[in-house]
Amino acid sequence: MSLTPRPGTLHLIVAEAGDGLASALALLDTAGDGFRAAARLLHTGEAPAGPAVTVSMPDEAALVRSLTPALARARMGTRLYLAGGAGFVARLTALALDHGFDHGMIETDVRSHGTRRVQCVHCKHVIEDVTGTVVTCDHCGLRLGVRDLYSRRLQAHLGVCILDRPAVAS
Amino acid sequence: MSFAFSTGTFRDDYGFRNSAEGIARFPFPFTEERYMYSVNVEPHVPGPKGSAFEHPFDIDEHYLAEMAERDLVLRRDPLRCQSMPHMIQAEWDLVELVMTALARDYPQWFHLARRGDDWHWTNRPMAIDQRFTFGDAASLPCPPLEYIGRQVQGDFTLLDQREDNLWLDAGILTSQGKWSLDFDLGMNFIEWHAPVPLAHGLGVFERALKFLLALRLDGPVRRLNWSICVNPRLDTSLESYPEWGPEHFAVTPETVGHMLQLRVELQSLYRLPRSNAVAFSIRCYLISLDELRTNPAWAARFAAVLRDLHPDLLRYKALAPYRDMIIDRLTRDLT
Amino acid sequence: MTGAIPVRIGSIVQEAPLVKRFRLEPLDGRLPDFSGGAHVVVTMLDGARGRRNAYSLVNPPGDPDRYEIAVRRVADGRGGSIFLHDRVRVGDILTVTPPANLFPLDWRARRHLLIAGGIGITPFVAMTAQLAALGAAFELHYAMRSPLAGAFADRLQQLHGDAVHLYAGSHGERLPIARLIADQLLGTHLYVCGPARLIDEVRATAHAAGWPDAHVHAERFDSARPGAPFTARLARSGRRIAIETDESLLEALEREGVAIDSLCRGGACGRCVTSVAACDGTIEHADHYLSAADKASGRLILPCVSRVRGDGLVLDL
Repeated sequence: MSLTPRPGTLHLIVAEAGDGLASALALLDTAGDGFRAAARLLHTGEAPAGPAVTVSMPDEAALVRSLTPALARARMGTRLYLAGGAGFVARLTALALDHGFDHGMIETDVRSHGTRRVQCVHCKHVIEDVTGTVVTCDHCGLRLGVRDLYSRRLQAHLGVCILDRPAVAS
Repeated sequence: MSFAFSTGTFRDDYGFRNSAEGIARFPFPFTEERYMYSVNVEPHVPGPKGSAFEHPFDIDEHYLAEMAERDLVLRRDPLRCQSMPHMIQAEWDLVELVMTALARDYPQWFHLARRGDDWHWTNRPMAIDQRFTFGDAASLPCPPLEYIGRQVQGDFTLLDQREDNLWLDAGILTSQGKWSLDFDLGMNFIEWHAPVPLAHGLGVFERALKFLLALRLDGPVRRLNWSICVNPRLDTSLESYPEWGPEHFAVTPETVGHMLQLRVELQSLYRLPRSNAVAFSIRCYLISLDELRTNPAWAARFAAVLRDLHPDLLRYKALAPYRDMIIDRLTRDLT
Repeated sequence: MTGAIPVRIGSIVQEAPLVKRFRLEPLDGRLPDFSGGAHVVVTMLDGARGRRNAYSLVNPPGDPDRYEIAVRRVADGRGGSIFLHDRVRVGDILTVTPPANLFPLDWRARRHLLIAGGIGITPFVAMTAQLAALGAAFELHYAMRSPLAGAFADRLQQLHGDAVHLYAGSHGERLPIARLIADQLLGTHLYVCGPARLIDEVRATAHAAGWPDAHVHAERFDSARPGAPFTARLARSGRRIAIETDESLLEALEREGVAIDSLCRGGACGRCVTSVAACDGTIEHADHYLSAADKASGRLILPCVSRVRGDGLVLDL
């Protein structure tokens, strides 16, 4: 789901290198001058070529350190746009929610190449980059079926253990 | 009504049994030979004396057994009771709702004296004598939702009303049917009903939501939901599925009579005054097929419903593996 | 009417030149508690005429021993406020519905910004009491025509001190809407009640500044305006009813014993929405609930505020 510009007083755009950054640049490209004047783009990876003014960070940890004061200072009217892999978007969403943002202020573009984050409902561990509909929980070892039910709060799909029928019926 | 509180268990040896009186007052849900989803709510007004509907919150012979089971589940998995910070007012609203109802309807067991915010609550069956300040969570031994949830039968969710929707922002769930509070916490009405088949196409949930958004203070409502359950296992949460799931494989024509339970949820919904939230009570009743057979009319009706059930519903209620076994057991020896 | 609560007028206090506060006491038992922003619908019997108007509760919630409403006298309305101001006496009995809340506080808010214009102050009187009792952060900005005209202004300032900001139009003081909206703590919710003009301006300013719509709450105080009389036919019973100048279509239906569910009585909540079987005349939609498409279709009407020009209205009742 590509990013669309919203009305706002300040637009914080945070992107992961690669597809995420491309999505963020596309947003800036299609938005108007007023939007661009009120926008700040912060991302991992190298600064892109082209006219856009961006702040590039070597890795996610540095990005978070740089972003946190801006989140802490943000007033009503601030909009947040996140673009990158599912894990990146989930971690940054959680950071923003901790600073008083809610989902209505956050736009996301998750570039996950068909993978999903899955919460093991039994041990509560979240498994990243799951392809397909079956996965083994890398915390408790249960074999899980991945369901379509999605939690915005946990930013993950539901994983419920698959039981095997016993070899000999009792 | 006079009876002894039962000492049944809902796991391990599954000692749970209904007395003859328990069977007689079971809220049998099938009024017709066919069953299909509908909103099917009715006003939650006092029903026949002695019935499960007589009082808004029904305390029956299994009260102490269920409270012990709830305590066990919460000790093993504290995430079964959660409340987002903004729901604290709704928690207090629920404390008032339940305490005033129980004290009014079962004065032999419960007593409430209130002077301003100084409340004195007595629960004789559980030997609880508690003075506290209404609105001050520090004056209770645990958060208000958990406190009252540990003293009344049935799971509860508290739904915050905003943005023309209801949000599952608090709950105490130790006897739910195949869902997870921790996973669903924070979802809205449409989101958490996503797994239910058929109903979405019919717009059932949109209509139900509209109806509930208009719920009035003086107009609680109720409806019945049903499913089947293997063994009288109350805790059929997703979290504990590895514990109860395998038991399904032990159902055979020989065991189906005592293992298979008809599980009826009496769901009731209340508008709360201070928070404007909606309290949702989900009260489970269990009856085994053999206990059900003692009422031939019920046995015949349940068999007829199962014969005719839509395949999608059959699948959703996980009935397909057992349907023939159940019908056979219900209709055997019946003319 | 289900749930109707009989109440006695305990006192009538002039709060401002055009505003009276009525204290409503239960005849027996306790009154249901409510949340700030809630209203009750008051049924008034004026001879053979029944009127029903919604009024915000202004007393503090929390184990109420009475309900208090504040009514602004409207000279050119349907007459409900005139009835209350001019005809009702201490000791009279009225009935009210149990409280319902279409303008609730959002408990997730880290801060509450309340903006009132004129009689729009009434829901905020109870809301500020509830917020203060909970220790929640809020500020109230109240625009009144003049210091004298501002009902509850003194009391609110006494109770809540610096949290209350007053603006008297007669002194050239204006609500600094843009400034207020531009600089608020993240997580603030904004509530506005007053004239349509004020609500529209606050909404538009907040939206343009980037506030999510879910953070902006408004209550309109519309009620049915009088209009030319017209008639309507009920398709299922065949009955014909005549709607007088100073009654709404909803009131006319109620007078004729036709039960229609209603809640806000002001064209905002949609509870009374009724299907139109046919209409030769023109439906004059005065509500804020139906979509433009619904209004254009001519198949729905909100009888609490809307009227029809001409006599061809057939309702699916």
